[in-house]
Amino acid sequence: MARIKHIAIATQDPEATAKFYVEGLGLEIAGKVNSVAAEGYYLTDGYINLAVLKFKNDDAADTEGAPRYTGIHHFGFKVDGMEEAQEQILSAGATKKQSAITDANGHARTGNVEVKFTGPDGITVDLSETGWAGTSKD
Amino acid sequence: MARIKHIALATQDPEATAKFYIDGLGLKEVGKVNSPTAEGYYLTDGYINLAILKFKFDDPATTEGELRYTGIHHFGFKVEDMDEARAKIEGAGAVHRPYPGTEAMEARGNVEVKFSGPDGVTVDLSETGWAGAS
Repeated sequence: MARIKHIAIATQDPEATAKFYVEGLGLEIAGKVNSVAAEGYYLTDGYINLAVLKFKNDDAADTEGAPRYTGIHHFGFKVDGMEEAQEQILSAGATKKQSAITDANGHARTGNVEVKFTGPDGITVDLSETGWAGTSKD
Repeated sequence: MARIKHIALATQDPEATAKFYIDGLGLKEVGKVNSPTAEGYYLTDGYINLAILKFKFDDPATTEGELRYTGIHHFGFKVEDMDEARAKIEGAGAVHRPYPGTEAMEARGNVEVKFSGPDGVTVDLSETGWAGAS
């Protein structure tokens, strides 16, 4: 079964936002992010990856019909088989999110390939076979 | 340690949104929501509670400084000790957010305490956890 393993928060101040979740909620830093899309931190509670992201351009910041540079942004599922998962989510009505930085093959960074979809209400849903930094294997 | 156990999505059509996450991602329905603040569904992947909520008025729909009746809305942590967790999150700069319907939550057996963190993001804390979360 697909498992929710990723939540992304957009911020203009990744240091301050990461510090809040580390000090205020006990999360741990699992990695730094510096990709073509964003910079920031991967945090974890030991199970789920919480990404704190300062997006670098409108394309990467886009969700729910507009760029969103601050606030809760999207979430993601780890899946067993990408082809099967993609077929299932598309047949339930999602559309694949085409992007200059995350193409049909996904944008490979830090060993993770996310494929992005738009679901009901414009919500961005990531699928990943490899999972995100700091998430447990189950 | 506090554990992320809850993600809430706002929608005007809870049936269609719930159906999408069930049919498209294999989540299971674990409960219906009909509280003073929202109606909708609780879904789960076996670990996380995904709440699909149609908010009933502006106060609960408010997050990040604006009304949000559709879209990804907030998330929450299960904590072991509310007093300790609250002191810690407030010490890190969160602001407690009074919320309508607390008595109804107590009656349901789950009490969320809501905070605004950086970027206005709404963070729930709960000692009891949410339906369907392991």
